[in-house]
Amino acid sequence: MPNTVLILPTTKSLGLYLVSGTTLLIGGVLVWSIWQQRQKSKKIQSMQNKLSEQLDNLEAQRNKTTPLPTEQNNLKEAKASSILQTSYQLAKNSKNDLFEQLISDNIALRAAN
Amino acid sequence: MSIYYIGIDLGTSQSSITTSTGKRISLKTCIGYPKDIISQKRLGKDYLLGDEALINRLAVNLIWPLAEGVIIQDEDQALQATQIILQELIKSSLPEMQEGDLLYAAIGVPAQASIVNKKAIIEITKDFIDKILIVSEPFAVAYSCGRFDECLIVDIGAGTTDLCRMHGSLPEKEDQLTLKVAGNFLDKEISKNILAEYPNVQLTPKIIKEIKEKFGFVTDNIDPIKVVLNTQGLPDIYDITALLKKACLNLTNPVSQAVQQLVGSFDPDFQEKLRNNIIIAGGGSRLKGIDLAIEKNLEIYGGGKVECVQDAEYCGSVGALKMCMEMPDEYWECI
Ligand SMILES: Nc1ncnc2c1ncn2[C@@H]1O[C@H](COP(=O)(O)OP(=O)(O)O)[C@@H](O)[C@H]1O
Repeated sequence: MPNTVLILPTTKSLGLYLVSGTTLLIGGVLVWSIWQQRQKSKKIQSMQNKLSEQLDNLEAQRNKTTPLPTEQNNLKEAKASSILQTSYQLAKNSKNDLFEQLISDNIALRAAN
Repeated sequence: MSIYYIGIDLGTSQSSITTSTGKRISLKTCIGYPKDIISQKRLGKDYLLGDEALINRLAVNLIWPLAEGVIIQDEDQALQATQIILQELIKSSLPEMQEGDLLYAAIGVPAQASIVNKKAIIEITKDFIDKILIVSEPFAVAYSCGRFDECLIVDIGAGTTDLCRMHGSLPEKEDQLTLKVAGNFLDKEISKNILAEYPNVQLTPKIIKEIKEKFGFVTDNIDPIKVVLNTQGLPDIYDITALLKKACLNLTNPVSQAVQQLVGSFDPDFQEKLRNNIIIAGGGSRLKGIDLAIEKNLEIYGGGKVECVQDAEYCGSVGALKMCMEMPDEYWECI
């Protein structure tokens, strides 16, 4: 039988080795990164669980300690709402000032000779 | 009975209307009367408006009633033309209006319009507008942007560039500045520069305007601009990149100087705020890179921040409409 198989050029076999080596390497990297990803998501999940547990505790504590509305708190609230109202009023007033000027300007225009 | 509100921007070259029903229309501020009986027969109308008049300009006497930024004085024809343009804008944007309905309007007029002009507008609209407010155009622009505090409006129109300082109240005379350097000036500059380099090309105002509106720029980097122009009837390609930029800079440089003039003469405590709130409006705000070019020119005076309005065409009429609709009834009662 002619030994054609045995006389494969060396460069060809070298190429084959290289290709299979690279495939193995890429495969390895892929498996490793998937494993890493899994670990990460497990970690995040456990952190999230912890956090929601802490939040629940906090909420329970707050419910226990919510103060009854005192006079001081009422005052604070009233003050905040009055500030809000004033700034809204201010914006409205400054616009109304503009309108007033505009109207008096237009009245003067009609009266001008 | 219903009340309809409208905002109108009565510009020297272009006018627009925005209505409380959500319609908006714009029209070139020109009217064409047939030149003779023959053209009247051919056109089949007593007058043509806007683009239609421009297309048929050889058959009509074209009138731009606000060409100089003001209604041409002692010209009944100009007054009548303005009246027809306003009526047409209203009629075509509010077809649903019926007998007995009320129309409240705010009309933005060029900043330099005189008292006589403003009165004339009130007079010619009294038959078809029930209540009317006249406001200066830059103020309407500021209103549309919701800017009543320190800002500087630069409205680059066709005949004039109007600059107006806003500081929470109605602008006074010293808050306003009007330059003749605007769109029409730029047309002349472009034409002059092209002819200086290519003396034999044939140019018309329409070609120049198209070049300006399509290619006009003041940026640093741009692809070469090549246009097809005719020389004695033969078309050829001409590179106009450098000369076009040179012409456009002749507009932005004096505008920047005027900006600095209004900033520099303002209360020093508020100059920085004014410098950092410059708003460019009008058709000229569409010139590519104009905001950055003015910012660059302001660097030697300590810098500034410039922005262009989003919608140059309707910004004024939208502002006028907003003003109309936000004005409480008791104020309307006073006029
Ligand atoms: N893209 C553009 N680049 C430069 N100029 C433009 C552009 N579009 C429109 N213009 C110019 O803007 C001017 C019209 O602006 P506009 O605000 O409508 O004027 P006005 O208020 O005087 O009627 C015209 O000179 C027009 O050629």
